[in-house]
Amino acid sequence: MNDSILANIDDGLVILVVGILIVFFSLLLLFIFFQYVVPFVFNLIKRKSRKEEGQAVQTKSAKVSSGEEIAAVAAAVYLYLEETHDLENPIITISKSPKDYSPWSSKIYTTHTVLRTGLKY
Amino acid sequence: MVTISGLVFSQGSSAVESAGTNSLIDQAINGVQRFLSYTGFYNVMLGNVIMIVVALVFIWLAIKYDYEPLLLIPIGTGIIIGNIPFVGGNQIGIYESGSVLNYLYFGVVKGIYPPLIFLGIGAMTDFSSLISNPKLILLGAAAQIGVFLTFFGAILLGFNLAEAGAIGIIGGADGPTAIFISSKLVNGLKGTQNLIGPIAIAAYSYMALVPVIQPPIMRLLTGKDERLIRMKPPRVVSKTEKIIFPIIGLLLTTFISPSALPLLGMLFFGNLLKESGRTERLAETARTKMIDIVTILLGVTVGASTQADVFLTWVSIKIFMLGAASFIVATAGGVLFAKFMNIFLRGDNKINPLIGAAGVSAVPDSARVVQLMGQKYDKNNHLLMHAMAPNVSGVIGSAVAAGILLSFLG
Repeated sequence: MNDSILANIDDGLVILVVGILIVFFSLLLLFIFFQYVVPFVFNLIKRKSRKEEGQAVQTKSAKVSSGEEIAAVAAAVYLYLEETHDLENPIITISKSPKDYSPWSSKIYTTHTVLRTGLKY
Repeated sequence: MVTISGLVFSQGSSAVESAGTNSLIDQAINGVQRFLSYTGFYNVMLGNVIMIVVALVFIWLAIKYDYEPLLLIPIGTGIIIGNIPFVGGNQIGIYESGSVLNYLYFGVVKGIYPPLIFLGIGAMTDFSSLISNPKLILLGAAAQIGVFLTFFGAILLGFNLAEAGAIGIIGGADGPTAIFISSKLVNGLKGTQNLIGPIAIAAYSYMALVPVIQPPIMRLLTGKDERLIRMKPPRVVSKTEKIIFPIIGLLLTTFISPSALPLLGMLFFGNLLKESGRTERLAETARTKMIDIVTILLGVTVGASTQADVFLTWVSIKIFMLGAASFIVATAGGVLFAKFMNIFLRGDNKINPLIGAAGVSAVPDSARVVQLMGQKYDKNNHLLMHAMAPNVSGVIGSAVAAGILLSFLG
């Protein structure tokens, strides 16, 4: 081995070891961040927002205090529950009719029907 | 007299005419000879022929076997362009100052093209698999062992530190990174050799040969039961996590290795363009038109830089040998580290060691090789999504490794 190679070997070894360690360290940091820090922060934010929601409901309910307000809310709830029968199934299904003819789509039916307007021709 | 003189005159005229005709023919012959001396046929050397054959092999591999055609066809054509013999001094060759090719090559020599390619890669990369299973990031780091061991191997083969650093990065299996670091360390300036061409060609050749190089190593280092390991499906990653990733990735990696800023900065910038949801137009441009234009320019100029007189040397052969070793070590590093991680993992958290091979960062070819290899042993085992994690982590890892080498040797 010549002198120039020997001279480079020490530096090379240092770069080899330090280089591998730094690459591992930087990607390890990314790993730690996304494995532990991000979920922790997300959980924290979630917990906080849940807490705030709870508080918001509490303060709202605390505001309803007078008898008139309670009666108004009760009336609204009663009316709502009474009208539930008006709720229809929002799912609309279009099924093809087996028959070709329908008075709803008949031109002749509509043009030949005497109009009940009281007018005489 | 007149007649005589006329005769004499006419005789003289014919002599002058015949002398003139002779000189015209001579001139024509000289012109033709001169023209011939400028042609490729006159100046061709064995080296040119060899390089043209290499170029044709590249083009054939790309067309016949679909091996990285987007790279091999521009590079192959570039090699042909670079090895058409010509007489120097007419601003034709890539190394002649003022030539068109020289201007285009400027983007390689000054390391302009690689960061632009990274911008495009960032804009087309989905880091979801990495975010959903962050431990796979470490496989991308493990594969960089190939870079540093090859660096050391190159020193033992007699290369100086800068040359060894540029050669080592071939193991990162990342063409733009290899070109970037070569343009900084071995660009032919400040007493260094110009090794950009051989290093770039070696890096891209081995990237194209990933489906050939990696499977035997993967088979050698894994048992059948290990190849059959099924990993649990990655969880759904939220939009916020996807937006946070490029920002945190940019901050963490570049604070540690600022020399990699042009590469990592552009990579994460491109990814933020994609994930922000507000800059779709820019992301679309970066991942399509822009990266295509830069790939064409990069491929052709890198290919053209392999003029036989510069390229066909023992140094290039050594670089190719080290490059192959680098790829093998990097693949082995990833696979072995996955096996090492499995010692500490239980149940469905275990990693299929095949995905460690994808840590070499040849995106997405090595991940595709892992998928094919996994399906060879279990048709219902889909490893592609899992392999994409070490694959993209390898891109980050090789850029960090390049930054480290630059900060030591630059």
